[in-house]
Amino acid sequence: MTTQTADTPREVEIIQGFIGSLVSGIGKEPLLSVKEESIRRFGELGFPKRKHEMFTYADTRELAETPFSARRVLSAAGFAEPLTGHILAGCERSVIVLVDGYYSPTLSNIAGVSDHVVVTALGVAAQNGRILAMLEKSAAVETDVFAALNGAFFRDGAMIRIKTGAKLSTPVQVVLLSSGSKDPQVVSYPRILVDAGESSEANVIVTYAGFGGPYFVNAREDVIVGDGASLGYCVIQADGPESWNMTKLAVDVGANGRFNHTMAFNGGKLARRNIEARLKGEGAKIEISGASALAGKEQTHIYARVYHDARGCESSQLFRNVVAGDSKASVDTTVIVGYGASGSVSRQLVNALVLSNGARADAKPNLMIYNDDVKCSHGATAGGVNEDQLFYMTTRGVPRADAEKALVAAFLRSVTSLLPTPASAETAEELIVRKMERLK
Amino acid sequence: MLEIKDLWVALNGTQILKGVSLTVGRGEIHSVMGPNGSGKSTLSRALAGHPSLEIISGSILFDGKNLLEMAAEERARAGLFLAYQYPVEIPGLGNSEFLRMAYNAKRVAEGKEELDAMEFEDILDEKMGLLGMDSKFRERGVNEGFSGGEKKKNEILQMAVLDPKLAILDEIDSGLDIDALKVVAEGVNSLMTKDKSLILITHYQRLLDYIRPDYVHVLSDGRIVKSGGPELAHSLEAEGYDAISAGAVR
Repeated sequence: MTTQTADTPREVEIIQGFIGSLVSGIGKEPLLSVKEESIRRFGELGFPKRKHEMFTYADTRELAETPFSARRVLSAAGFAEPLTGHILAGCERSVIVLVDGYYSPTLSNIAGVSDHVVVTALGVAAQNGRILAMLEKSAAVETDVFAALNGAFFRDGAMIRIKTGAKLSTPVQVVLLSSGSKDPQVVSYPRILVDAGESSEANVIVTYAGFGGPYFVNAREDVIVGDGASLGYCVIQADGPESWNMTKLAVDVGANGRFNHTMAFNGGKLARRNIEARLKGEGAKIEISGASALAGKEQTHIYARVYHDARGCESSQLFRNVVAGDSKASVDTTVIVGYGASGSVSRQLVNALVLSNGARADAKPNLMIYNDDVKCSHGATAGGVNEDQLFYMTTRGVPRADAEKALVAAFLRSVTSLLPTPASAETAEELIVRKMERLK
Repeated sequence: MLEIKDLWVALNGTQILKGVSLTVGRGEIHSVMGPNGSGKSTLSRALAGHPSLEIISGSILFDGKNLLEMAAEERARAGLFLAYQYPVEIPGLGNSEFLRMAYNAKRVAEGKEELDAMEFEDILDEKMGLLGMDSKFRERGVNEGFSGGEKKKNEILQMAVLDPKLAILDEIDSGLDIDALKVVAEGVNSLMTKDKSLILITHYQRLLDYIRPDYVHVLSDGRIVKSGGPELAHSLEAEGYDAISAGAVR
């Protein structure tokens, strides 16, 4: 592990800003212990300065040097209109909205699932000792400096609890809406905690979107999948091309729990998703799949660590990235099979379509195995559009340019078809179709 | 309809076709037969416009137009169709969606408006019925997970939808059992009219029991060494390619 500390003027400024918020009273709120632990970790970690193993492919120097101002949204007024279009069909009565990191009960509507789902402000939720202990513990051992920043500076958040045994036929959508600004540059720290109770079945769709200019969204998602629960968890990253999105997802899956995580990325100036998944109970299973379509100078980076901590666990990962122009995509993923995790099964596959000389796709699927009784595979491919498929299509009269677009969409569809509802799949397809016009 | 004159074609620097000449008139069915490696598939790919092939010399006129100056998609839109020996799979691209793209590309070339998905479904229903194809093949990826026979049926379905003037069927009989061969052949026959032409590329006489050619040509070492009527196919079956080729050369 690369050892660094926070000592640059910008880092010192951030720490002083945190202390200032405590002095001014803003910090006197629930979860203070989590925030203090997080700023301590930020001080220990510091921004990546040299080649850093967690940021091998994502260059965060500009992000670290930019003095962002935190958003202070207190009213939902003015956000209803930008929200329109982001609420998926079928989720109108099961949508939870956070604006610039603040949970907005006014813009949210969970009437359609209120028998099975409880939404509370994170501060209130943390009055539950189990939740608080979990947040404190994760803050104390945080290894991602941006996640530590979120832990120090988030002001609000939502806990979404799916009741034990609940079977939801309607998906729950969480919209994390960011308002942008060119001057000053703005940051928000959304935080959500999804607690899927034992034997529950649900689909949660998290949408990142913004309006009004560039922004930096530094988000944290914690997910608990209870024993025997089955949670579909989809992320649609629809931020604008000038945005920064740094997100950490930490998920624990209980015995015989199922976590099916699907992601569709629109990219942005820099979009990075750190996934820390722990298969904690026997027979736990996780599927992770992600698709990116990038053009111009957009970037998407996945950093995933999947821990098999118990017997008979299974993990499967599939990433498909399309890079054009001068865009960059990377997938750095490691499966760690622990000493006691006999009977583990794991698959990792990273495929990239590279459509231009200036584009770059990196893949680093790794395995760390501390048990003899495992079945693990990993692989990666990169290349252009398949010439045989292209020729086949043109011999049916399809113009070459249209055939190329169709083949790119088909390449990504192996992931987008896994999205849990027709509306979410359609939204991801629309992002791709729009992007196709720029994929050169 | 098609006039190939002294066509020389190379692949990766190796000469494959060495002076092929062939004329196919409107409404005619020609069969090109020959042993492995004789250049049959290269001929079909040269006609379709495969970019990896180097046309050394010769000419191809299709409906009076210089085919060699046309890109693959232009050839298709002009009415030329190649049914592949090994159709590629395109996972993620629905068969119905692909067929509609191809159909609409042709309509646009003809100055007609594109059909939407609903309108196209009616056409597809009719053509699939013709070939006795299950509706499950609509939404599956193009040829994805299809058996050998299903792939060949899907090629003929595309032929039915695109309604070409000239179809080249490259070993459409390979990998088919008797029943599947019969269905495919009947499908092809039902699409033929006096204005349509066909080139059947095959190793075996068996296919010609179902689709009766007007002319049979023997391709050997990149040249047509013998031409004749349907009886030539029977001679090939009885005597083998070596004997016929040797006789022709003598």
